[in-house]
Amino acid sequence: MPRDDQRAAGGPAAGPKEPEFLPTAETTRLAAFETFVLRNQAVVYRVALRILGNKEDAQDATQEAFVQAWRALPSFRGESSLETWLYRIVTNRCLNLLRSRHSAEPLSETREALLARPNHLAETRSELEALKDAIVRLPPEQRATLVLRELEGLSHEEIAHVLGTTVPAVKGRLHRARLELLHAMRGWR
Amino acid sequence: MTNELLACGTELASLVDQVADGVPPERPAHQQTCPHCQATLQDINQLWSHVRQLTREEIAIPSGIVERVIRRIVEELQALGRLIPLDAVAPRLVRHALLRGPSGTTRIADRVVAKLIARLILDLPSVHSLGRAGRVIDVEITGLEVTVDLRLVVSYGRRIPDVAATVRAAVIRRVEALTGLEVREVNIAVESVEMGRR
Repeated sequence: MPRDDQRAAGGPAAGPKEPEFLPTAETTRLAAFETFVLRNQAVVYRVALRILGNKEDAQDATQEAFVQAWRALPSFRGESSLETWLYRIVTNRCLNLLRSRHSAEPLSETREALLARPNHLAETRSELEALKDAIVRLPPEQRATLVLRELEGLSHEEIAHVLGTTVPAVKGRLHRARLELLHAMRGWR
Repeated sequence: MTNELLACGTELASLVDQVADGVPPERPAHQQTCPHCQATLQDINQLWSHVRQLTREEIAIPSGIVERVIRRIVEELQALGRLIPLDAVAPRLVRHALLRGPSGTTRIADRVVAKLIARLILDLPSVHSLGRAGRVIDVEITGLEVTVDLRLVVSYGRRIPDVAATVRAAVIRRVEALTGLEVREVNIAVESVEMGRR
């Protein structure tokens, strides 16, 4: 019994006319978008993970960013590269998430809790882990700037576009972030 | 903090820029001989070697991101009344078999097949229980063909290859009889052996 049905399901030419299976502009667009997600998920997830510092939030932010990208795609005018545009969406997602947390639980508390971590614990951690920790403890804007510059290799101009700010502001944040990391890492030793 | 100075009067920030951006030193002659500059540069270099290491770190992408994104979008479009059949967009994401008959179609979801299998397996005395880790019954439907991956706990004292053969035969027989689909493969992972009744 399944054999005949299988042939009928093979394609529009084989079976009776099935309007629901005719490709529409939207299905074509969505199929192309699937490829786009597949190609860019690694970059988006990496940025989210570095900014948010944990896998669950990073995965959520990645998914949300792509859904948002789909919605915003019709208004994409090509003022920046598609990649920069995507950086902008995911970075803002992450920053919004951090800001909403910030208001829900004061950051100072979290910072204090983290700083109060006993030293012997710190000693057993590798310096790379310590660095990740230090990055996650930077204020959100500094953190995003640092991730985009040092880990993703974006230019100051691109970062300014992604964060909706000016090049001098990007340079200032980067400066402060680098110094803060240096202080944090010296503290580990 | 941005204008923090070392004991020798050098700006800390300028040393950081020197390492991070490859900017040439402001006072190269001083830097060569200054113990403060040298010690600080060593710290910064060490930090930056870790930063560079971080850029090279492999990150495992969680599976299912593409799937969930496309599903969300399709659901959104459907909510807007734009009916997009998932199989037309992303055939990989289709989780059901479609049986087309002269007077209508029948859709059988993968979870329905999984439920049938769960039921029939628990009727086999040689199987103690289903496994505990991850997806214990994974059903993949391609067209009208089914591939099944199972994780099982076998009752103690049973010959494991025989148990696997029994399970395989039972799954093929029951699923094909009850759904009309063809079972292509039944892969079995024995997770553990347990004594006594479940």
